[in-house]
Amino acid sequence: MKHITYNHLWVSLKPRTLIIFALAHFLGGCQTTTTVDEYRVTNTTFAENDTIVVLGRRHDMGKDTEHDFIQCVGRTIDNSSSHLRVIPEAEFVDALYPWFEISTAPMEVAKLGELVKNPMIAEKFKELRIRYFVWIDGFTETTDSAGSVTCIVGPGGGGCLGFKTWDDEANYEAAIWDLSNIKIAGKINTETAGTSFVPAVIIPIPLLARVKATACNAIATQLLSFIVGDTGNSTCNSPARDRIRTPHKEC
Amino acid sequence: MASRSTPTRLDRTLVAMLVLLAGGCSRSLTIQVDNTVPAALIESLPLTVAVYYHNSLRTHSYRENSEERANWSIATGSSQIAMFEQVWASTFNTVISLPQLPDADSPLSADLIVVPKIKEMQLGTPEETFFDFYEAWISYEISLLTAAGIPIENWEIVSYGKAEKKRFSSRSTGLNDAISLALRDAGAKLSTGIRKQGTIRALLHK
Repeated sequence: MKHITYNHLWVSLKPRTLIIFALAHFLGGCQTTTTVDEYRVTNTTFAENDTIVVLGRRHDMGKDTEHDFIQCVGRTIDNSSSHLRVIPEAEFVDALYPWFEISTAPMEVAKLGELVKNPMIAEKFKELRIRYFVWIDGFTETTDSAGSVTCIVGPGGGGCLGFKTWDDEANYEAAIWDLSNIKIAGKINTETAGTSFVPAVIIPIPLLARVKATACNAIATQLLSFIVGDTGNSTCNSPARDRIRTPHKEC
Repeated sequence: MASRSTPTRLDRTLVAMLVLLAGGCSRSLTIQVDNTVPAALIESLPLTVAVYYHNSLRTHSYRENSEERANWSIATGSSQIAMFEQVWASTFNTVISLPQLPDADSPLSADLIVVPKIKEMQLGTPEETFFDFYEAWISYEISLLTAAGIPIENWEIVSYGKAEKKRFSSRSTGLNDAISLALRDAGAKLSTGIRKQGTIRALLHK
């Protein structure tokens, strides 16, 4: 077994290499880790021209599911190579007003069954060719922070000095409702965590962990896999519970 | 010495920055809420309804002049009327706008008169509540009257709107968004709830 004494290594390294090592350390610290859980209840089928709608839950008194996160998930699915088309949340909620407002939206799949009994709503669903409803509940928050950066501007110029770091966590759950059977098709849960740094010596250099963007990509990719299937087949036959751990390194 | 008294470009820049900062910290607020709600996807009721809007609703404005909320003026009247008109147009087959309430001696040829009124409006900002969102509550009283203007039933609803605090976004934008969502919620509650009111059900079963 070969042992390396790092003190010796640092001494023998050139300044440029040291800077590269330091940058690599910071970039390594910016990594985000995502865990995706998928729970499948029923098989999913999907025909050409079918659409899905991705909606955010905002009924709690606390923090809401962010509009930009819902837009990101919808856009990521829409821009994928699958033929799955996503109706934008705002467009859908306006078209179905007043049935998908915060105070009137169905909280459980049985309530969706009641809504479908209304011929006007059923006709609108048919017109929009909706196959699945995806309800996303959750949010991104900063859980811990330390350090500070101070900037000073004077007649002779200015600059910043300091070091700031913070941890972000994104927890989202997507419930997939099957409109044709009025049943829950499955659930996808994502947990993403990451640490960001801002070292500042004259100029602040933000090294940001893209926690929300990573969570968006993870949930959109898993939704695509859930509805369309990994191979793009229109029918998926895997009623098993899968757990996928996906570490990402992004800065 | 003369050159010291002449303001330099840097002095002017600093003064401009201070003025901007002072403006940003100002507590006074003037907003004109301009919002419309979509047409409701509901089956319209086979009724002819006359609607009367009090001047207090047409020109409704939230005003407050306290230590925390100095010179707040938020005009919502035009948006309130637009919301009500959109809701009634979707809810009833025929809607008549009344310039004044009728006398008992000269009843209208309508099934019902509806008179909406704002009872109270409350607002919450992140600075006050320490939440990451702006909030708005509007309490309404919807009076249902006979065609002769005799009161039958009062229906109260409370609508709520919550708008997330966005980075680099002003307090005006946050409150405007929260009030717009409260108006949207009011429209949803009105259009789905009015058909459950006893007076309306009785008229439909006539």
